[in-house]
Amino acid sequence: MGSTALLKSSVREGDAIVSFDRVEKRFGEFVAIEDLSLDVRRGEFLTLLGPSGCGKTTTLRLINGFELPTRGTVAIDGQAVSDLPPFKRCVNTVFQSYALFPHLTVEENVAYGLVIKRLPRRDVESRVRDMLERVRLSDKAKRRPRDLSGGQMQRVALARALVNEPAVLLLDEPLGALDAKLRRSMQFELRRMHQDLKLTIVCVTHDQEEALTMSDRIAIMNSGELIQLGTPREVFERPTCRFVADFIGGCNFLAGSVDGAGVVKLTDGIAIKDGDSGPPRKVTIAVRPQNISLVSPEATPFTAIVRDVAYLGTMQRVALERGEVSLHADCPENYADIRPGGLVGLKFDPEHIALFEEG
Amino acid sequence: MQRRTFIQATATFTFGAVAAGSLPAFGGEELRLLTWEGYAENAWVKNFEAEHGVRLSKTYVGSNDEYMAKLAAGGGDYDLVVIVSSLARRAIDAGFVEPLDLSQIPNFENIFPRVKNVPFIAKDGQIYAAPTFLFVSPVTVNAKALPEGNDFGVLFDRKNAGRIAMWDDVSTLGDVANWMGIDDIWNMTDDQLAAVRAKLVEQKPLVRTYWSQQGEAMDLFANNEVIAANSSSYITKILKERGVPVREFLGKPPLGGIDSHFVVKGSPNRELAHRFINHILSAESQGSIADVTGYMPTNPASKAHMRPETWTELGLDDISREIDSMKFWDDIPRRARYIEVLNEVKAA
Amino acid sequence: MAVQEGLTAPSSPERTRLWSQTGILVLFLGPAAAYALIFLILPYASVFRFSVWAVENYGIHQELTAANYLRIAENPLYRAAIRNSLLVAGIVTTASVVIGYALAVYIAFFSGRGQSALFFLLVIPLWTSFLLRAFIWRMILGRQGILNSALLWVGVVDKPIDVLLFNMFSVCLTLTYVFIPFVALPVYAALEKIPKDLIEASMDLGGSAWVTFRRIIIPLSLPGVVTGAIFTFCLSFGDFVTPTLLGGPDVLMVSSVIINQFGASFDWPMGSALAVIVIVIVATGVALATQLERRNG
Repeated sequence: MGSTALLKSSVREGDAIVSFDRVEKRFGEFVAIEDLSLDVRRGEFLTLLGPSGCGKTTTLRLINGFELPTRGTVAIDGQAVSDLPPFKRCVNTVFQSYALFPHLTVEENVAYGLVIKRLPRRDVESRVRDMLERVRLSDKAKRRPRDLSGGQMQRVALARALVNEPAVLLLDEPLGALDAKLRRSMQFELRRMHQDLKLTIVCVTHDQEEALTMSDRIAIMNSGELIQLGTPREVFERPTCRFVADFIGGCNFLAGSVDGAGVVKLTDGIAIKDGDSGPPRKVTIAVRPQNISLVSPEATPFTAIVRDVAYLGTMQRVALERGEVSLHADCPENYADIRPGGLVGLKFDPEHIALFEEG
Repeated sequence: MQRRTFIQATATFTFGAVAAGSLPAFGGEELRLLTWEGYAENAWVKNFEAEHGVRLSKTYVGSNDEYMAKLAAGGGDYDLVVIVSSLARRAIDAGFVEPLDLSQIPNFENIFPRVKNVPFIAKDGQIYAAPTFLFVSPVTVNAKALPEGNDFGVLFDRKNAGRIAMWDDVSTLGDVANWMGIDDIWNMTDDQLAAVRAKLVEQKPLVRTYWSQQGEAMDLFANNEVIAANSSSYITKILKERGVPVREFLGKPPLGGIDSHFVVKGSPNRELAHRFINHILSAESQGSIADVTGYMPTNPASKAHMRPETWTELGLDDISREIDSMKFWDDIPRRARYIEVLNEVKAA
Repeated sequence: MAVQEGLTAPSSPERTRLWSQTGILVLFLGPAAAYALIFLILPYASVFRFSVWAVENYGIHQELTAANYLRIAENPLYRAAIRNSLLVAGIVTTASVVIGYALAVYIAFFSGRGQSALFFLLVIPLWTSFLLRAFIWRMILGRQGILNSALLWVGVVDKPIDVLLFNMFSVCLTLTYVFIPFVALPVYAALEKIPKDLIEASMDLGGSAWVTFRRIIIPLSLPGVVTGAIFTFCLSFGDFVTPTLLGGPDVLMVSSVIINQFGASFDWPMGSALAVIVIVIVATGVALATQLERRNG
């Protein structure tokens, strides 16, 4: 943490398979995507992460062609695709609802893309068979989708897309409908498949854990804008703005300022850190709950009242109140002397705070 | 015409009311009549009701078949029923109706002799019905398109191809057989039936359509779909009133039917029913009926009680002259076969 | 006594619940079963019973005979009537399915804001009497009808043409007009039920609009088509109003013959025998259609 610059990330490096160049998408007056420039690199697992309505699904639909940009260009494999209808694009999608064809069997579903491309029957059969083996559904080949469990349907949807060997595989909230345990195992399965098949995957999710687990890079979006693009470690450890810090991992925010000597202070004058190289200004000081240590109130002027303590298994989450400001701290369970109503001191390593410009 | 009818009806009513005092009273009774709409209008019924202090309850039916179905289902709901001549024999044989006591119906004697002697209202020397209305089955033609000619053969003339309609009814078989010179038209042999069928099949390319409801037939003339059809006097009459240029003529010999009043078997109001029959056969009632509805009377004395134009318009001079040669719709012993033949023509 | 009470007491609420469940079941299913018995089973049984009896002088002889069926088998008239009915019902069903389907697709996918208005327009004719609609077609197709007037005015013909009315064409046209909503409505309902993402999935997998229509939309709307087709086939097969009013000399349908038997001929057994044959034909048609749907479902 520590970067204060808001990075407009459109780093053009590596081999881009999908490129957004200054793309804008409006629905009437509503701006769904605002000036998006983004490259998806060949072979990477890129996740579009953000709250609902942030534009991540629209971004995905600009790739598979169900939406066309209002302005700017989308290119796949170096070719602008604005005039290509969905069925002419070399990408395939796993839909959130799986969208399996209810009147076709599992193998007919998987074969669909190959059959309508008029591939020889023997090729279709062998590729479908291989793909069903890969997703471990060979024994369900003759079943109808309604006879499958959620996880099985998910794998059929995946097989149906992958059998076409798409240049980019698009996943729209792929694990949203699965229970927690299945979701975790599918996260690793997707990751493994990505590596085995050397796929390029663009995945949409609102689940930060899913994004962190599976992705090579994460693009965090909010209100139609790309906020930050980076590896899971980068976005977690070096959020470029308050939104990212809060959305990934959660964060405490405190109002403060930097004085002429480069000392960072809270509004009540308590110095947090020194050596800041920037000009004097107002800042927001961000610190993650797990980076706050609770100490004796005599040890520091930075104190707070304990409001509540929640047991979280490996740690406890402590809700704190400091004047008007609410804070959270996660600390090991064996940490002593924390009772609701009691006064505690707060300490954190200056290395673990981030400063964001006000406004 | 409307006003004259009204005045006449009022006059009849007044006369009836005055006369009521001198007759036996049937206080508060109800006479139940199953009939065609138009056969029991107030103009000649109200005075009967007043005279006898009874109420006439009328049930109307829409087709001859319906009469038989209602009677077959149990006639106990009715005292009197009007049955067409083609079904009279069946109604008698089926035991739906009972013999009349002609001594209670003095007006019976005034009916056209030919009509009161038709065989199908008698059985074992007893008379079962009083013929009350006559009708003819004429050929109606468009007077502009066909100003000349009075031959049934107009319906078989190639010049009229595509402009002919035929009645979708067994009576069409009788009409055609009559024209072909067959005598026993309602009881044809298989060969005769086959000949009639062949004639109708031969005619089919000339036929625009078969009509089944009177309104439909009128429509066909009014919209100039057809210029000739075997039909009914009622159709010609209504078309003339609507200003459609039509005329009609009778077959040779003329063919027609009779509607007769029967007393339903077991009627508790037997005497009253007889009085009603006598009333409707009276020259006054028959004249009034002809004026109001255009139905033909069976009592020729009614001439004195209707407008002279009515007598002329109904062609009653011709009828009176030819009545003895007239053929009436009669029982068709092989009715189902007749209908089958009609359908065979359509399917041919 | 006390012991007995003690024994029965605990089970009594349970028994009450059981009884009330049975009560609810009887309350719900009773009327349905009664309906089925009174309006379906008994009438069919009665029709069948009549069909093996004979008629004599307005009386029905209750003795077993196959005479009615033999008469139907022997006289080509009845085969011709059934053939005509099958032909008309077949043409009408095919035409109604094609047009009704296209209409439903248009309303469901292409009508935009006019959707509810179009839907409304489609339903309105169903509020009008069937007879009236048949009569209106008679007016449209007649010698002095709108169509002939238009043709004359444009100069396509110099005198009214007769081929529009009183033949199989006018019967099929009118019945098709009447039954298009019977197809369009269930198809529309089926189309509306198809999730949009299935259509997107097909396109995503490389299916053009036509391929998607043929491989996804048609099979998934088949239940609606089958429902509409069954309605249309059965009702047009059994119709007698239209052939009577617009049929002309050649279109003899079996329903008209049946009506003749029950009416003018007073031959209920014969009419019942024909009705039994019609029921068998229609039931076979419905069974085949249902089978087709099941195989695709």
